[in-house]
Amino acid sequence: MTPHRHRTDRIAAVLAVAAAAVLAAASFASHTPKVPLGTVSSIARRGISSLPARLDGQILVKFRKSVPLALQASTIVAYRSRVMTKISRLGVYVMEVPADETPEKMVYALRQNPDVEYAEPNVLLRALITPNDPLFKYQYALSNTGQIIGSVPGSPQGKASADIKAPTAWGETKGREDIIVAVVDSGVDMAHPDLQNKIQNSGKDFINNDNDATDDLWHGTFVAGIIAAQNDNGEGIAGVAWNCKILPVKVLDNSGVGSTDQVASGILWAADNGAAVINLSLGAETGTETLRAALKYAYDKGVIIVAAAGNGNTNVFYPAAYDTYVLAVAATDYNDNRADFSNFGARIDVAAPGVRILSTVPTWYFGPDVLPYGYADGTSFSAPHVAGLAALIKSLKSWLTPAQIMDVIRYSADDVNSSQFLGKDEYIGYGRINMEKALVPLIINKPVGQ
Amino acid sequence: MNRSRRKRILVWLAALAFVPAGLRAQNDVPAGLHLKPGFHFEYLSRTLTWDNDAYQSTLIMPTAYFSLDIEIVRGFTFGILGGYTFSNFNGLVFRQLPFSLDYEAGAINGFVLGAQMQKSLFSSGFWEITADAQFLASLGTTKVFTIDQLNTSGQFDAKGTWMHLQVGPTVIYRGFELFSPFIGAAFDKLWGTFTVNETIGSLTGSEAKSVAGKGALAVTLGMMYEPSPNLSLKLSGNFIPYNKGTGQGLGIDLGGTVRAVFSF
Repeated sequence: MTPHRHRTDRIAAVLAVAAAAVLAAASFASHTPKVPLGTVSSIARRGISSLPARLDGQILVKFRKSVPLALQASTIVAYRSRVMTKISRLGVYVMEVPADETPEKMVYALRQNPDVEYAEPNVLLRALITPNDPLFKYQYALSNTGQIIGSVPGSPQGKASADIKAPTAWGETKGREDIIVAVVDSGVDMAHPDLQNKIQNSGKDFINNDNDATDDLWHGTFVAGIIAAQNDNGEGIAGVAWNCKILPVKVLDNSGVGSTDQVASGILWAADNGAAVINLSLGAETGTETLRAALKYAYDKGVIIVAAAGNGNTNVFYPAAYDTYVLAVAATDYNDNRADFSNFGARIDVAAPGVRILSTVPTWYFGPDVLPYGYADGTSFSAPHVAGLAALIKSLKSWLTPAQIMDVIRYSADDVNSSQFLGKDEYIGYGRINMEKALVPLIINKPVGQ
Repeated sequence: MNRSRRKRILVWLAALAFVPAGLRAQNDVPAGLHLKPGFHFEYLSRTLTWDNDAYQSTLIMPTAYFSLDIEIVRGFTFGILGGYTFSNFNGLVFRQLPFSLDYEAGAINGFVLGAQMQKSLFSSGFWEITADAQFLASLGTTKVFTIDQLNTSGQFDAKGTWMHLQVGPTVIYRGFELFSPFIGAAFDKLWGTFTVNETIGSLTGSEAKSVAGKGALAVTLGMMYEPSPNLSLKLSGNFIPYNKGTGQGLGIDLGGTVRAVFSF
């Protein structure tokens, strides 16, 4: 490459990065939502990493309505059982299984009895981990129940299940503290109450060439919150990667612009300083060999790299377009539709919610009397959901290579636009990510040919 | 059951095998080779532990097999076994694969081979004590399953093998003309491996999970019915207590055997 060509590419890259960041910033909500704090009761339930299918020693039995109570009682005794409790409204007995019987055999025997309407195991249900963070109810991306997304009049309503199914996945893993996600961005507000305990260290600033990657924009703080805001702290929002940590790497200045050499240096530094995952919510229309080489370096070191596709409704930006090394993420909305700004192309791998995303903003951003949280749109905020998932997979299965983890994320995605484009397509790739399918054991009950 | 307790049981069983000669009712006079073909149907349900005792599931294994026993000397019989089993390993969870799997797909068939022996140790009046041992090994077969929850088609194959050893004394009451009730206690060990290979798109993975039966002492109650010198029918039930876990009390695994043996 000639010096002139190099300079031209660099200028183009700088401009495009700036454009992408500004585009994301433009859609950022100018006012924080008026969210009532302290009105959410603590509903956190601790997870159970693995459950037996049913409760030992108990079954559920309902007799037919025509069977008198006395006969029901004598039948229970005849099966050498006793009533542990009764759900009166349903007429269902919780019956004890004798020590020398199994629930399956007891159920089988009772089902042969014509007086029994049904008998079944007392099946255990998997805990859906719901954090007590008061703004979690607005994070449709993590758990969409069809709620109103915001507290101000006119806030949109989501479609149930148009989400990445985080609560169920958290029942399998909440991640490990030693799995670090590098936010290569505008830095992170390390004093933010929802982030301060999740920061690995003060990071690296390639804009000012020091070791303090404090955010003086907002973008990096917003991305960091989506990935790993502190969960279950009664404060703000929940992050995808519950226990994982954030490594701030500042490569964008306070206008959201960074040069290729700064971004490349940030990627290299993150790879050399313990990052398991790198999130790149930035991009340019043009690729460079320097950026590609930095990505290859990180990838070869075992780092999973996730990048935003871009917000111009045009071809996928770089670095997302570096197919081999990077997972390119498009945006969907709260109805599981593709966001109209989301870039497209054959290199799109997956999609994640990127419309009306609630996350952290720097504490200084809105001033002292306003909560440091806001809504924003952009593929910049889709990518961190995927980065968080990658961190959880890495936490659970540290032996998997980046290529394998990328495939786990791809194959487990829900093909939410299959009615229009069956299979992988250039708009949402394999589909909107599904944390539950990626992390929770798949139940196998079907031999080939059935 | 801890290791020292198992050791005590083995020592106890060994002692029984070397009962002083004066106590032995049977002499070791050669009796010629008596062939005893038999048919057995056995049902066994065992609680398994796996992943270093972190998890539990149940192995259900109905097994049918033929036996050919040879009475080498009077009071000592040795036999070989061969047949088929339907081993259900439902409940095993595999997390060492690219996509974790919860196996709930039911029984996998497989051949079983084994051996058994019985030696009469002591007899007085209507009572007899024998030493019994049986070893069965399921060789397993590979079965292929579909993974259809993902956007990319996948499948995995699974193969389960197990081995089961029972060694212990049996007390038989022969006071009835045709029926002989008996009770036995045996050291009981079940162990095995369930291996899966997963293929989903470009992803492949394998995991072999070692499993072991909980409990080590089996109590057997049963009855023999001998309508003629050439035919013996045997019905027995197995009870294997095990510790469910801290504060959860005892569980009992159950099994049962129906056996018909012919003598020539």
